[in-house]
Amino acid sequence: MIKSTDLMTDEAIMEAVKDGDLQQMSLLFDRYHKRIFNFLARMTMDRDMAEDLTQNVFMRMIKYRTSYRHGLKFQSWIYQVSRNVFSDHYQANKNKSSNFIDVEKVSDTVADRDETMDQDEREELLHRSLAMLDEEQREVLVLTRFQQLKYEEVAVIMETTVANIKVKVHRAIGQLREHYFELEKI
Amino acid sequence: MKKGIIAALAFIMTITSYAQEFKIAKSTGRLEIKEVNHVTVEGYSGSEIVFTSKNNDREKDERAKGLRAVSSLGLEDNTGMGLSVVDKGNVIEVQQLKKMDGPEIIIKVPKGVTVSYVHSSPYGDKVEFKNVEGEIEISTVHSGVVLNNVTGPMTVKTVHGDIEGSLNASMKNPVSIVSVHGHVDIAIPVATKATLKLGTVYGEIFVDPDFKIEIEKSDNMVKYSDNVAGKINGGGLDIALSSTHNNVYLRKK
Amino acid sequence: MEKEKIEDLLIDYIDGKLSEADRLLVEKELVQNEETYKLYDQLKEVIQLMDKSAKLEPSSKLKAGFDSVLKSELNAAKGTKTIFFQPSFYRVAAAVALLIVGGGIGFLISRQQSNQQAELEAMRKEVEATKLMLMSMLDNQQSASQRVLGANVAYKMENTDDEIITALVKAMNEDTNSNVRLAALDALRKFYQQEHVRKTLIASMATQRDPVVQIALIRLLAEMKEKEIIKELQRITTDEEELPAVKDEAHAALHQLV
Repeated sequence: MIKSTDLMTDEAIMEAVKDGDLQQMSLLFDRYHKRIFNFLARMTMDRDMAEDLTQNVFMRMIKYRTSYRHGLKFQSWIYQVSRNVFSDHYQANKNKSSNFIDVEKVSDTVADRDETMDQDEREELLHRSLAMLDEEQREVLVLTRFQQLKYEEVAVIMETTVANIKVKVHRAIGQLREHYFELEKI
Repeated sequence: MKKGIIAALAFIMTITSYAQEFKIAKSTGRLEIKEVNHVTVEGYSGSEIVFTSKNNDREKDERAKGLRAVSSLGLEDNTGMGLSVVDKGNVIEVQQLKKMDGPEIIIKVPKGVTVSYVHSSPYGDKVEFKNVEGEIEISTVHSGVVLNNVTGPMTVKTVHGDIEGSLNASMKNPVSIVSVHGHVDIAIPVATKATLKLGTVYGEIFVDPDFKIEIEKSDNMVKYSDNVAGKINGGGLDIALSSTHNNVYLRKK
Repeated sequence: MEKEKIEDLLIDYIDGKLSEADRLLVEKELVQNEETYKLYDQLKEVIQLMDKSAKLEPSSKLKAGFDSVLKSELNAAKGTKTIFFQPSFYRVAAAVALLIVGGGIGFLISRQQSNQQAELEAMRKEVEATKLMLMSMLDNQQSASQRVLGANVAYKMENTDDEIITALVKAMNEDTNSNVRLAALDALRKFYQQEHVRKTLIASMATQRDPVVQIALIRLLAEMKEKEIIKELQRITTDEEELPAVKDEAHAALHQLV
């Protein structure tokens, strides 16, 4: 059975929220919370923090619903808000500790799956390498390779050109490889 | 240096003053400057409008001693600088007596005063507005306009004069700058949130590449000139710059 | 080839994005150069790790947290009006934004029949409020900037009524400030399809003396192929008092129309 709400686009639902029907936000929550959580978890390397920040994202979208521009792709908007939430958090906390990312927490971040020990270890290495990248590089990798957004969309979200994104992604992968194989040696 | 002494004797109508400064205790209302050829308007944090004259030929004219300058328009020099400053309640009217040339005046204005500068003869110099935080209205025919770190809101128009300057980050809505033959060259901070309307008919529009303008698609609107309309940083203030025959330059501050 | 260029090619190769020619080039390089092969192998490993990386699962706290946020926002919204911006300019902008969106979401409102009437009424009241604000801005004798703002608000509206048009026309013809006149003209040209607007703009040609506005007006009417202004244009080209720039514009317009 198809619900009538299944047929509604993200944009239409957001317009309804903007118009005052706040309850509709739960539909968008259902559709997006996992994605946003994943994005924020990989950016902060801290699951608990990522849950808090994800909540912030949805709260901001409700509070500032009137600033949702008619015609803007919802997915682009929610990622923009998420970036801002992350950035605000980062700005507020970067002075507090020399290493923004708590390396201890990284292993908690890695998914608990029934994989071989080997795979788990490699995932952990990957995430630790990811943590060593600067924020912008990590962001561009998470958006393109983990969240699997197209370059065109990421360009809109990060307010720059596709060519720019491509260069950033390539440089980030290069750096990631370096860190990964350095760590592997240890 | 002769010190100015203002002697006001109630029953003697003629007052001679050699003061190089004239003040009016007003911090709100309109200051209307009409046909004054050499003016710099400067914003400051005081609560009086202060007129100073850069040169003071008056002192040198021995023959004029004891006399007050008058003009055919019925204006009287009540400032000792060749300026007539009349307080009309909410509006202060400033005019100069000489038709051509005239004194170089610096006017310091408090934040809350709206300044209007109107000029139509070909004898005027570029008018400069510096650090002015209140509302600005400028309309000239020949004179150019220089805006230095002003806030607005503002409506500026010239027929022939060039308009150049920079607006500061706390600029207020709206900003409307228009010229027929002069170029319009304005700098604003890159982070300004604004809806831009840059227009020219026969000239060209130049924009600093650091401005990322989301061009507005005009559906069935009538186009009658070359227009760049769009938002920067999501939109906000209405900034309209246009020149009919000359170029428009939008720079980053 | 420098390292970065090789990296670029290898990454695109791993993603399968290279052209046939480039692919062959890379494969040749991989065979011939051990360093390059090592780089390729490493890049492949990290890329595959990323691509295979599992989706992370949030805990149940997240949904619970969201539900409570939603609840508090719902309560907050009940207590106040939906427009909460200060100062008055932002209220106007918000009302205008509401107006513009209003057309598109009509079909959504129909889902909640009982609220429809109330919502439409609220919207109508906002339009009225916008109009009042606009009219008073246009009327502000103390500040040309406020009058420009009033015209800008009218420009952003989807629909307009006779009262607003009349006020705009008055501003365009009589305002002492050219910038206000131009802003009013900009707003009026949006509603050009209305007969009343057309006629007033044409009539205005005879009385405009401000060169900035004259030029804009002539161009607009010429663009709209208004033959009615031909006589007025001819007058301008012979009138001693008119600025050369205006005369030139009139000439150009005559060429377009005749």
